[in-house]
Amino acid sequence: MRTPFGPRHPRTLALYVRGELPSAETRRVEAHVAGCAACSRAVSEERALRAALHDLPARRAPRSFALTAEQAHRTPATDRAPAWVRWAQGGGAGALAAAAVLVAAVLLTGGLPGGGAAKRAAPAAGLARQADRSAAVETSPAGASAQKRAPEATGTPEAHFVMPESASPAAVATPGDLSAQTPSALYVAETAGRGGPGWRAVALAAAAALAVVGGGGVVASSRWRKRRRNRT
Amino acid sequence: MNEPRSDDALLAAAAAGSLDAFNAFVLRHQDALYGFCARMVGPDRCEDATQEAFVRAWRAVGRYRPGFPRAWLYRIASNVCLDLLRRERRRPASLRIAGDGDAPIAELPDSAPGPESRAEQAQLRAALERALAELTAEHRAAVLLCDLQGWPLAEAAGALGVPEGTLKSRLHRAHERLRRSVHLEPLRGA
Repeated sequence: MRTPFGPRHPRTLALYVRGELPSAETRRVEAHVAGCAACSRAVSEERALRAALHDLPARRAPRSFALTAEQAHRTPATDRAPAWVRWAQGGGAGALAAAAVLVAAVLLTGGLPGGGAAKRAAPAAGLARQADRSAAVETSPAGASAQKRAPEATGTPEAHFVMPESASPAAVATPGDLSAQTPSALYVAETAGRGGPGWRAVALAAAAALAVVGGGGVVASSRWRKRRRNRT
Repeated sequence: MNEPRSDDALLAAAAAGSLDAFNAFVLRHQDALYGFCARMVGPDRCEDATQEAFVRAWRAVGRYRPGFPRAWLYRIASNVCLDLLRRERRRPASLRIAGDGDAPIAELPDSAPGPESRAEQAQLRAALERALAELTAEHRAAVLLCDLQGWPLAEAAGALGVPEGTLKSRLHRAHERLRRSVHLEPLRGA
């Protein structure tokens, strides 16, 4: 026969001994314990333990722990940190941590936003400038040598200037070589889902705002606590 | 004759700035709280822990919400004791056996028929005290409140800041360990 309150339900027996079971459950346990030797013994042992614990001698305080006026003055109830200090400290620390996470996310996913993002912020003006510059580069040897020095110029200079005749501008336009493309290719590249300021710039702006707010909160709350320490 | 003021009334007066009211609350609870701290952190640091608990309580009395003054005080005290134990990363340095140093309020019951029986009871108590000191701090706090001081589970759970289910589980495990450490004769009857 399965034992309903034995090893499977030892806590039920403990609650029964403690008198913390509902009355219906208490009656059910009583009825079972009366006819089950194992549970009856478990109940007896639990009772013995509780009685022994309860009989352990109490302690008397060796002295009065009443606060003296000096102790009370040092930490008066009315002088505890007000809510704004506690919020500023906790919220400030959280804001700083969030700012750090945002900056880390930006750095880990490709570094700081470059000029490309700024250019994309104003597509029309950017397009015009890009078109002018690419035209100048195509006709000027000095412009070609400058392009060669640019960090993103991974191929030969000609690779930037010569458009394969078999390929359409849209097919070869990539974000990395915008400055080398014709205006129509640039337009295609700009409209291929890369418009707007970019999430990295937004994240950095948010991080800066969080850092300012969080740092301010932490500094203000620290100053308040320092003033209180000096006062007491 | 004036009725004794309730704990809630004393704490309300303390929150308004009355140190006398707070000290009346302190005197009412200091013996029991000292006993709790003594068994939580050991005899060396229990005075410091008790005093620190009352100081922190005074500092926090403005935030006290009426209802469970004892649980509120013991929550502060248990945090003080746990902080102390975590900082020192040690169990109570030595276990004070009943009658060994601090004067117990309750003496051994006179029902013991003779010196032999008294000696056995003293041994049993010493063994129990040692077994208590071997429990984890969380399990020990649960046993101290629910078994030694006889608090209801709900109030003790509030004092320790855990759900009732967690407290029951801690008590169950603590009892298992105590039973393994100390042999007790089964007790019949209610």
